[in-house]
Amino acid sequence: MKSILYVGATLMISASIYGFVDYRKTSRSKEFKKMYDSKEETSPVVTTEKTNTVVIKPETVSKEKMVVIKKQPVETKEVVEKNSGKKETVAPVEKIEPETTAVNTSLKNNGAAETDKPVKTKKVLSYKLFSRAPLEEKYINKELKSEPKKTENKEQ
Amino acid sequence: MKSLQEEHLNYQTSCMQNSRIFTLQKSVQVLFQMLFWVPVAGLSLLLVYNTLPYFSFSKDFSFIEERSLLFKSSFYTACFYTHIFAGSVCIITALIQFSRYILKKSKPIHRWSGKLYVAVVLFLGAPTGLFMSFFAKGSFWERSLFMFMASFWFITTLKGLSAIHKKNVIGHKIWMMRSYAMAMTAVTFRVYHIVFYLMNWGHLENYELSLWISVIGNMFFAEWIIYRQSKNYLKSFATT
Repeated sequence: MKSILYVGATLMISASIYGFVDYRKTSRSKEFKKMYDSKEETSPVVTTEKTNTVVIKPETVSKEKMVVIKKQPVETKEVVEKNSGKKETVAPVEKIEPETTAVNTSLKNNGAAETDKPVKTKKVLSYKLFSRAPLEEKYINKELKSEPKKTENKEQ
Repeated sequence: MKSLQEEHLNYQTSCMQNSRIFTLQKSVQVLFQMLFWVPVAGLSLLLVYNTLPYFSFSKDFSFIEERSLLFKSSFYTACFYTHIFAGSVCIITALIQFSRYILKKSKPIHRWSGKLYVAVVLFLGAPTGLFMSFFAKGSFWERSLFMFMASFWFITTLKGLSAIHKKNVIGHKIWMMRSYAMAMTAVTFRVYHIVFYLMNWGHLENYELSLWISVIGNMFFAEWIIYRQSKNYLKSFATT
């Protein structure tokens, strides 16, 4: 009984001393201080989707400035055939460029043009959560993504 | 005066009522025991099952990724794997230890699994837990709590062992209940952690609160059971 006590006490004392010394060494590094800092926001998980919608209000159209949709003029080229000598106009392929859309600036200022749809991410309750892993979204999503890959490997 | 027959009948009916009440009390007791042990055993085995993949020694686990700086040290890595091995063995053996059926049918099983539990706690689980507590997540108070847990687990297990060496069965039961309460903080912590996670709590606040509730809650629960079962509660802190 005494031998068990002495061995156990020795292990506990040496663990505490070594732990304290090791802690003093590692606590000086910046990496250790930032190790447990979560990069994600601690606010509730509510994501918003911003969609730009065009709201047509006939009352405000005349007053507010409108952005006119601009397109590049279609360039026509004269193609001269050497043999026939006829001139034909061939419309080249229109360049594909992003177009500006009509945006009502007043509504943009009010924020009504941007509709924020609060989308709550569903929290999946899995038996795998009952482990030592941290319950942070980035880790849980990673583990859940790795699960179908593992099942696919098993099926193959 | 009542005849002897009438007296005998009255006596029989009163005995039958007492036995029925006794049976009802016993069945309620068994029901509460089942309500306690079925989730405890189920969650304990689930925790052990989720710990098994760690013994592939792969670093592709979020717990290890979060502490990648600490796992660069081979000593910390060795302590971690030793600690989770010790914790798994403790949880499984403790489930066997509280079985009265096994104790009645085969005392050697109880003794050998008990020796295994004590050896694993005193030489593996508590020392490695104490070392790792210095690097635990949270503030100074959470680290102190982990240190307290490791020390209390060590002391209660040692006291339980010394009590049974002195043939004090009641003292042995009481101290082992306190030791088991510490071992079970691993399970109850996870339960609270998941509950607060589903309630959209912030990660660090969730972690800290779950830790404190699991440790203090388990200790209070163990003391409440000891208080109910013991005739003199204050004497339960003595081993002789």
